[in-house]
Formats: sequence, structure tokens, C-alpha cells
Amino acid sequence: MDVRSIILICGMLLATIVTVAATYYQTIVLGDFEYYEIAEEESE
Amino acid sequence: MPHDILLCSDATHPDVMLGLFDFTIAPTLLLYAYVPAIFLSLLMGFFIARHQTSFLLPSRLFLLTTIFFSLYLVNDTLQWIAIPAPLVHFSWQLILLIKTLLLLLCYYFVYTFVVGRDLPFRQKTFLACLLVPVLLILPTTLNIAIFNLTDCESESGWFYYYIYILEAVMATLIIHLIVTHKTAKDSAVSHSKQARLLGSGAVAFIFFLFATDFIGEYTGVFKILLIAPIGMLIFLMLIAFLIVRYNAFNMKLLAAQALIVIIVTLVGSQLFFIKSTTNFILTTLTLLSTAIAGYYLVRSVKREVKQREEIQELAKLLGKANDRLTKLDQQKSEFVSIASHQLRSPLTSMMGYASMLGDGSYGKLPVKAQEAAVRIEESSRLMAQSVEDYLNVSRIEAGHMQYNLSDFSLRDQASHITDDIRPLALRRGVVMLFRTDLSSTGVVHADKGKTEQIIHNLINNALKYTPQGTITVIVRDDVPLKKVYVDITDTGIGMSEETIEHLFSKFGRGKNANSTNIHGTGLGLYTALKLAEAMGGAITAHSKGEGEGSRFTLELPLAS
Repeated sequence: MDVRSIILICGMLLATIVTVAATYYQTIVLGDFEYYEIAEEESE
Repeated sequence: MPHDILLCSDATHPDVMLGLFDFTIAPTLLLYAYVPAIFLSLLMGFFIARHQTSFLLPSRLFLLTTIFFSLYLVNDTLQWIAIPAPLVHFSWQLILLIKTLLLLLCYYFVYTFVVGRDLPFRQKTFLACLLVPVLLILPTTLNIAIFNLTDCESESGWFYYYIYILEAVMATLIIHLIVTHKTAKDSAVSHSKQARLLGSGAVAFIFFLFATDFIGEYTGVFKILLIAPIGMLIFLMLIAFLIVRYNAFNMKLLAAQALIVIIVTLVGSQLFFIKSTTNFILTTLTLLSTAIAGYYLVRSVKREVKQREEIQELAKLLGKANDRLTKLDQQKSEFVSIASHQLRSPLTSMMGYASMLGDGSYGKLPVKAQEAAVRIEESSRLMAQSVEDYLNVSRIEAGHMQYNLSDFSLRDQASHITDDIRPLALRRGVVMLFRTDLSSTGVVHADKGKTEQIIHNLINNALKYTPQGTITVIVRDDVPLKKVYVDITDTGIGMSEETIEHLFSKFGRGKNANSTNIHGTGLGLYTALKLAEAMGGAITAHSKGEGEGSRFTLELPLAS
């Protein structure tokens, strides 16, 4: 495998890890997501 | 469970595992469907990665594909059983990423397997470009728009539908790859078949991913996702078939091994939905006994396969030795042919001059000299006959014998030959009789010259082994079978069963031939049989035993 390919794959891997970490932080740690349980309960 | 974490409201069961998972929410068949699929795919992935010896990239990519497939199933399981709403939401968000990586890896794997080299950099960049938008929108509402806490289900954002485009693109690329590879001139036929099968498996896998996701998304019946692993199982089965049938990945897998693994997995997977203790114990016992029996079966099959391979190796060596022998035999035949030709010319001169000396063409010879001339002529004739036998054998074996087939009366021919030989037989004290028993004209379709040679040979043979008595030549037919026969029956020395078995082999002579000092090369009957067979006939020999006389039968096809 040539150097360019290794750089590309490592780059994409890093980007993936960062994205998953960011998503984890936002959703699990911050709990920042939209939900509509209350809206449903209100309508009931 | 901590109270500050939002929980999915459908998780009401008191026995919650680790405060995070509630299996009662999940469909009954969830683990039954997913655990064997995860087990089989990882087993296959690691098995191939461990055993492949050359060009490791496809096996490693396949292992990665199976790992991401397992991740996909684990992630899906989380959506069913996890109780904390953020965890469920997180797993909903990850679907797009895991599926994208799974699809890209699947294509990468198929490419390296089919083409036999790494993906070009340009295509890798293209795949990376397909991944970038997924990474950018993963945490946003473009991926998961709204999350419903009532049943912990989400509503996809509009960008989620990107996965369908991706699935279509990957399936198209794989199909294109198989089709173009098929038409490549340098690809071996078996590899083309392997490429087609592997590509079909990959497309089936993608199709099941797409179909289950699409139906689940639009009907809201997410239980349909439980059948998504079927695509992977098809893919795995085709790969197992490729290994068993074509030694794909340059490795060996016995069909028995694959079957035992499948059976054990299927039996083992039942443990995940059995509720009754009795059933659980029975299934565990079945699983254990199947595994033990399977182990011994595989061991025995392996031993047999090893033996078979050794035999095949020996057969190969034997084949080579046989080829060498055939070549040597051909060289020997050529040598005999050349040598015989060289001998025949001087022998003809010797016979001619001895005959002329004997009949007084060069003046009257003294009695003793005349006897010597006759002996020279007789010996030369016998030697010429031997040379002719050698020549015939070498012609037959080299396939150079020419046959001019025509219709002629076998009865007339046999009658003439009997008449020709009768004076000689009488001189030796043997009576020659000729009879016919024909219901047809007795016309055969054969080479006249060769047939005459065969009958001469058989009668002379009978004469040689009949010191005194009778030789009877009978021509008969069997019209329904379309055959005409010439039986030459003598009252000579006869022969045993054992002698008859070897009589028609090359240099095969009667057991008493040497003891009775009868001249012959042992090639006459061999030549006669080969000639008869080449004309669609046969020769058979019968005798009741030594001293009981013999019967030789020439069989030729009746002319239509």
C-alpha cells in the first residue's frame, strides 16, 4: 500500500473517531437532542 | 438507576441488567437472529484472516467487514434493549456511520478479491468522499431529526436517506466489477465463477440491508430488521462454498467443518430464546453431543482427505511414470519397425536364392546340398514370418495399420484357405474338414487381406499344436446378432484355463509351446485379435483342458 493511501485511510479513521466522540459527547454527556415525549403527553 | 438520566418509558421490567439493558423489550427472536450471525461472521472473518497465506489484503478487509457487520448488529440490539434514552439515541445516530463504513468496506473487499490487487488511489479517494458527508452530519438533526421517548424510536432526518443512494451505488459498482471482470481476457474461468459468486453474495447482503431498513423505516415495523442477517448469511455461505470448492483465499476448508459449525451455531442459538429449564438442559446436552460428534467427524474426514491427497499424489507420479513408459514403448516399436524392415530385404533374397538352388535353377545339386538348400529356405521363411509378426505389432501399436473394408464371402475365403492348407496338414497326418452352417449369405464387412491373415494364423496355429488328428473349420452365423463366425476346432494338445487367460497377450504362448519345441514368436494371436477388433470383430479361445483339443472362434460383422 502506498504512502498516499495510508495517509488517506489514517485521515478518514481519525475523522471518524473524532465524529463519533463528538456525537457521543453531544448526545450522552450533554444530552442535547430533540425529543417529543412531552408534546405527545400534552396532546393526550 | 440514577434518576437524572432520561429513561425510555417502555422499560418497565424490574430485572434490568446493569441498570442499562432490559431484554423484555426486545422481540423474542432478537438474540436468536443476531447472536449466531455475529458468531458465524466473526468466526469466518478470523478463520480466513488467520489461514490466508498470500495477498493478505482481501482477508483482512473481509475481517473488517465482519467486524463492522457485528457492530451493526450490536448497535441494533442496543436500540432494542438499552434503557437510557441518550444511549438509545446515540445508537440510532451511529447507524448511518456504521452502515456507510460497512458498505465501503464490502466494496473494497470485493474489489481486492475479484481484481487481485489493491484499490487504486483514485477510487479510495472516491470512497472517502462518500464518507465525508456522513461524518459532517452525524451529530446533527439532518441524521436523526426527532427522538421519541415514549418508545425510544427516532425519526430520521432527510439526510439519512443518503444511505439508500450509497447502497445503490455500491451494489452497482460491484455488479459493474463482476461484469467487466468476466469479459477480461486474462481472467481464469474458475476465478470468473468465484468473482460472480462473491459479487452475488455481496449484492444479496446489500439488498437485505436496504430492504429491511427501507421497509422498517416506512412501515414503522422495525422487527423486519431481524431478518437483515440473512443477507450476511448468504454472503458467508457463498464464501464458504468458494473456499470448499475452489480453495478461495488459497486456503482449505472441509465441507464437513463448515456444516458442523453451522449445526452447532444453530443448536447453540436456541439457548437464547428457551425459557424452560428442562428445554435449556436438553438443548445444552444436544449442543455438547453435536460438538463432540462433529469434532470426531471432522477429524475422521480430515484423515480421509489426507489419504486421498496422498493417493492423488501417487497417481500423479504413476501417471508420469506411465507417460515415460509409453514413450519408451513407442521408441521400442519404432526400433523394431526399422530393424524388421532392414531384416526383411536380405531374408527375401535368401529365400529366393535358396528356393532356386533347391529346384535346380543353378544346376542339379547333390542330394545333401539340396536338403541344405531346402532347410535354408524353410528357416528363412520362418524368420520372415517372425519379422512380419514384429512389423505387424509395431504397425498396430503405432496406429499405422491400414484397413480396406469391403463386403466379401467369409465362407468362400475360409473354404479356400482350408483347401490351401489341407495338403500340408495331410503330410503331417492331420485331417482337415470344412463345414458351413449358415442361414445367411455369410458375407462380412471387413478387410479381406487381414481376414485371410487371421484365418491362416488360426489354422496354422491349430496345425502346430495338433500332432495328429482332425482340424475342423466351420463357418456359421447368427443373423439376429448380425455376426458370422469361423470356428477352428482341433483335437490337439489343448490348454488350461490359465493358459487361455494369457493367450492373446503380447508374447503370450501356450504352456506346452516351449516344451513341444514349436516355433513361434507369441505375437500371432495378439496380432490376429488386434486386427479382428479393429474390424469390429473378436477372437475367442475355448478348451476343455490339456489333451482335450481347442477351439478358436473368429467373429466378424455380417454385411448389411
